[in-house]
Amino acid sequence: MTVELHRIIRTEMDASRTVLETTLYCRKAGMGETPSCMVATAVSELVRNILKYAGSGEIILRQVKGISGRGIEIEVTDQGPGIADCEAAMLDHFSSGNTLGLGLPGVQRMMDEFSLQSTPGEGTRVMARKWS
Amino acid sequence: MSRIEYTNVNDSREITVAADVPRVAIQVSREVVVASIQVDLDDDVLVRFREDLLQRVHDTGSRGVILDISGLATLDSHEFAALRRIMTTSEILGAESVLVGMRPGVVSALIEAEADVDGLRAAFDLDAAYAMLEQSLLVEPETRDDVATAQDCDPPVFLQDAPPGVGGQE
Repeated sequence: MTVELHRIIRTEMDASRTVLETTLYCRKAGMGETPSCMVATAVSELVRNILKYAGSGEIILRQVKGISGRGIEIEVTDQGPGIADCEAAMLDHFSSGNTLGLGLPGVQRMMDEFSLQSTPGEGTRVMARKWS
Repeated sequence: MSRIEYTNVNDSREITVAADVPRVAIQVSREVVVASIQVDLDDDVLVRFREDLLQRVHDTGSRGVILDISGLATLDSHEFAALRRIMTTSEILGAESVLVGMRPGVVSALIEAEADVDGLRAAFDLDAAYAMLEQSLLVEPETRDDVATAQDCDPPVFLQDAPPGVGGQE
């Protein structure tokens, strides 16, 4: 039950494999098809940011229990350049790279709980949960 | 001297990458180019897919393109934006494009990600997509008939409705 999925993200292949594994992980944990797809899409956006901005990083998926039942927790960390203004990064249409932005507001909406911590020069950590 | 060497290295590397890139299956059926996307849409795949698709549309003169993504478990905002750019490009080539087979989770995620879905043509399955394309493309033979009829008409009769300046040229 407490089996974690821990993956290092260095290449695009790592990223796409992890997205696929996320769907399977969620389904195996008893999550429905649509929420599983949303968790996997959130992971896809987050690992894309890792490759684009930090170069490499890691992701851990866990099954969690809460008041509202069971769910999936995503923890994504990198030692990249970090985000100077986290509040601005959570505004829609904010972009620190090219026109695509970081997609973080989207990730927040796809998940039920979301937190972003970042220190410029040290890295970024995103924690997010979705309840079944 | 060094610049030429650099270019050569770059070229050979590109060729190596291209040879390994999986291709999206593209076929032409009922004058419509149908692409079934079953592989992960990384950047190399997308670039190659766009080239293949546009070439096929150009070679066949197809006026419709169907992108079947029912094989995709997820589609993130970046991949979706890339697909839309490919759809726009094929439209500029003269082929209407329809996205087919989006799963409920894919749609939900795209909406949450505030993906740009303005003007997107989408259908439930291949049959619905063909129906959609036929509806807009079948208008064409009628329009052609109209044009042909107009040309067959006696020019003075046809030009009666034209603005005075245009009609006066005869």
